Order: sequence, then C-alpha cells, then structure tokens
Amino acid sequence: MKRTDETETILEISGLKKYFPLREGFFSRSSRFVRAVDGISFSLARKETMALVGESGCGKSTTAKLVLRLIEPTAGTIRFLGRNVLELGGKELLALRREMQIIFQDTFASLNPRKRVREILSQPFRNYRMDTGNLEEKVAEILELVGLSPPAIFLDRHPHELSGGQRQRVGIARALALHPTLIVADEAVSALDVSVKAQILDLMKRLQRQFDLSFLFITHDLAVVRSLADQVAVMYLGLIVERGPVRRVFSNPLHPYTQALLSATPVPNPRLARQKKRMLLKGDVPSPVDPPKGCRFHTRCPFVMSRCREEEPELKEKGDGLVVACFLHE
Amino acid sequence: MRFYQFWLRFRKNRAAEISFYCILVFVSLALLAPWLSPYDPFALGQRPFLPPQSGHLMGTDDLGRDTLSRVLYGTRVSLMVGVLAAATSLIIGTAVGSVSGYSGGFVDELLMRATEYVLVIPRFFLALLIVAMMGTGITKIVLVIGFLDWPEIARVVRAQFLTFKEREFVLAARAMGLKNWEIIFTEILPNAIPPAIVVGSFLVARAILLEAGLSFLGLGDPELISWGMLLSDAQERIWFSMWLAIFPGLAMSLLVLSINLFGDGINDVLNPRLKEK
Repeated sequence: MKRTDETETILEISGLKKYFPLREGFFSRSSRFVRAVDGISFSLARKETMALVGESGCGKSTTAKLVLRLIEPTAGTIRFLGRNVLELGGKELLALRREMQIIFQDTFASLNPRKRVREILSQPFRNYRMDTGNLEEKVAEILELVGLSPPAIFLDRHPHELSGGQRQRVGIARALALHPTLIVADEAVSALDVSVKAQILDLMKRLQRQFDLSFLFITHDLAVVRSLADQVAVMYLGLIVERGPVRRVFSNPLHPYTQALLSATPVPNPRLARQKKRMLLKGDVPSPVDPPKGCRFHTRCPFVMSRCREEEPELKEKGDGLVVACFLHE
Repeated sequence: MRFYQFWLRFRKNRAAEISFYCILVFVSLALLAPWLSPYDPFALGQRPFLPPQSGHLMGTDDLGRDTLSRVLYGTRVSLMVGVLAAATSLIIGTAVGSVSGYSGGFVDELLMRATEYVLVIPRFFLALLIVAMMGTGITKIVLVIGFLDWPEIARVVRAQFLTFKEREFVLAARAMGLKNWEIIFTEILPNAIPPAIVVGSFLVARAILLEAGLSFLGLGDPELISWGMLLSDAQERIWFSMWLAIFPGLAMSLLVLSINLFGDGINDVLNPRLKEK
C-alpha cells in the first residue's frame, strides 16, 4: 500500500444497497424488504473527513456497517485501498480489516462489560500477533494518546467504572491501536455531553493530523459536521440527495431537504436567529418498506412538482464537486 | 468488590439468604457424612424398627440400620446426581444455544425444533424407559437426566446470543478480525453464562427429584443409598414406623425448596427489573 499521493482515493463506494427481509410469518417467505440503503455512491480521499447526515432511519448506520463489511450488502461494490472488500475472504480480509476500524455511539454497548480496559485494548495487538514484546507498554501508550493518563489508573477498570467520555476514549483507543487508514465513527459523539463532545472532537481532529486518518463520520448533528468534515453527504430514505464540500453545501444548500435540515439547526447569535427563516417539514419520513414513487422526498417537499411524483431524480453535477438529486436544479 | 456488592443485594432477599445457608449445611453434611454418621449405613444388627430416640435420632429400619446414617449418605448421592446432571445439561444446553443463536438461519431453525422436541417429551417416563433398558447405575442416571433436561438452558443461552451478537462490542471485535469461535468464547459466552447458571440451579433441584423418583420405583443405583430408595423402602411400613419416610422426605423437601429459593434470589439480583413488576 503506497502512501505517497496526497489526494489518493482510499474508499470508493458505488451502487451500495442493503435490503433487510421482513419476516411476516413462520412458514411464509418474506417478499417485502426494508430498503435501508438503496444505491448510494461516494468516495473518500486520504486524510479527508466525510460526514454522512440525515434523520434517524435514513440508512446512515447501515452504511457504516456495510463499509466495514460487518453486514453483507445486497448489491454494490466497496473498494478500499484499491481492493474490492466484498471479494476478499480469510487472511486478505483480515489484513484489510486492520486498516479500517469503527467507533460507536453507545459507549456502554461498545465495550464488553466483562472485560477490563487492559484486556479490551490488548486484543487488537494479540489478534494481529504484533510484536507483543511489551504489550503492557503499548496499551499504556495508546491510553496516553487518547488522553487517559496516567494509564495505570485505567488499566484495571471495567467499562462500568468509567464515565461516558472515558469509555468513548477507550473506544477510540481500540480503533486506533492498529493505526488504521480509515475510521468510521457511527454517531460517535451524539450521546456525549456538550463539553465532553467538544473534547472528543478535538481529540479526533488531533489524531487525524497525527496519523493521517480518514474519517467517515455518521451523524445527525450539523454543528459537528461543520467543525470536522471536509465533505458532506445528505441521506434521505436510503439515498444520497446532495453531496459536496461542506462549505459549499452549508452556505448554499440546493436540495430542499438539505435546506430544511440546515434551517432546523439553532444559530447561536440571537439577532441572526430572528432573521433566519425556518423551513418546517410536514409529516414523518415515509416507511422504507415502500418508499414513495418518484422522488422519495416528494411527500414532504414544499416545492413539489407533478414530475417529482412520477420520475426519480438522479444525482447531477453542479460544479465544485457538488452533486444534487432534485428537479429544481436540472 | 463486585462479588461483595452481589452478596449485599442477594442478602436483601431473606428467604434466599436462609436457603443459601441451608444448602451450605447440606453440602457440608454430604462431604462429612462418613465422619458424622453414628453408624455404618449398611451395617445390620441394631434392633429393627426403633423409633427416634437417643442413640438413633431418626430410628432404625426393618433390618436394624440407622436411619440418620442412611439419610446422611443419601444426601451425598442426591446432591451429586443433582449437580452433575445439571452440569451435563448446562454443557449441552450452552453448546446448542450458542451455536443456534450465533449462526441463526437454518441451523438455528433446526436446533430450536430439536430443542422443542426434547422439551415436549414427558421427561420422567423417558428416563424411566432408558434406565430400565440400559440398566441402573449412577453414571447412567446422571447422563440420562442431563441429556433430557437441557432445553431450557439452550433457549436462555440462545436468547442471550441473539441480544449480544448485534451489540457494538461484538461488531467491534468482528471489525478487528476476530474469528467466529473467538467471538463466541471470549466476547459473548461470558455474558451469556450468568442467566444460564440461574436456570441451572433450578435444574439441580429437578434432577434431585427425578433421581428420587427413579429410585423410588426401584431404578436407582442399588449400590448406593439415595433418598428415593429410603422412601421406597419406607412405603410399606409407613403406618407403624413413619419416621422411615418422614426424615428422608423432609430432607429432600428442604433441599429442593432451598435450591429453588436460592435460584430465585440469584435471578432477582441479576434481573432487578423483573422483581419490581
């Protein structure tokens, strides 16, 4: 694996789909599916951070698990470091897994309640039979790196003896232990207090610079996106509706759904907040079991046209790496 | 520290605490039976049909054997059968439940149908049949009971696996490239065992009763003294020497009750929410 090219693409996803079968009866074969992810494509460069945003149930977390091949996709390809992740097995997959790790939202569920910090963090080293000359030292080093110092007081604790922020730091340490290329952060800061969240975000930024990491950041928190990400992809009902550089998307969102999302975030300055136009969406997200025909957003879109109910818009290039799927911007 | 907290919470349930002490007493009696027994339990030659009195606290039987000594030795057999049979069930049930819950799909379907099949068989009659066919003997009895009583364990362990296999720490382990068997043994199993142990404690009580039932019908190990056998011997003489039935009966009821209450107590500590309802 070469690490020379600065803008080398490390992750390339195309047409990724995941349908979960619905079980309806004991003997009946399921004929209906939850279309959690319904054909998404994007790519990520080294040292870059891509944020995947959207409401609950839009398929963000499923995408995270698909990228790491923790669940098998229904269709599509995932290329990571030039290799097709879905075709690999055994040793090759194991070797590639070392390069991509994951951090979760639920800090409690992400650590085995019956293991001590020491055991949790020595596992990656053991598993890859890295020169375990001084395992203890390595674990201590990595604890220090994520700001849990002195390491000695944390080594023998169980997860329930740590605070939420500390648990998340352990989770980050575990992901970082093998020096991966890509870290997928699935709502990694959503469950934390505001102050702790800021610390963890700072930590992640620092580690990104230090280790040339790429992040795939799954979140619903647009403030987090603004502070951390280079690229943003907005998902709605299993599809990406708008994708592009954060600055471009946030300053001038094109898709009505992106506009609605952005108008829903609070603005710190009260004077600006009063001037701001709110765009409220009616209704709920339709069921991903049978998504609306045509544009999936047409049931809630304030600018809906008759064409939107019939045809499905495709992602169109709008310059500066921005793509949007909306007939308003044909 | 964790153990101490567990103990404090367990002790809040008075009945469970007393049961725990009862079980401890039974276990010590079983271990110390050779030293505590005033007489050789097999030795004839005392006067037969003595009612309880000093020297023979529980009287003597038709052949002049000391009932107290026989009950003490019976404790050994009952406890041993109970624990070993439950351990056998625990091993089989955990293996079936783990594989079933972790693999899911067709394997799960197959194993669960098999489990339900074992569950609906009238256990006592099948045990009776097998022991009658294969011959008596303590090992056979333990194995027969163990092989008939695992379905509940399998279902509990499977349920645990279903909850834990999608848990984030298991996903993290998989992302780290741990193999399936490593995930089963090091990540999920340690979390699935405690509820299985609770079910296992009830199985001890049930195995004791099952063994007593077999012995009562004359299918126990003839080489060993068990409570069921004492009861069986006592039944024809119950009207004129009822102490022969009362003492082994009391011992068995007390032990089985204690084990059940103890299991309940542990269950309450492990699932505090269930108790509030």
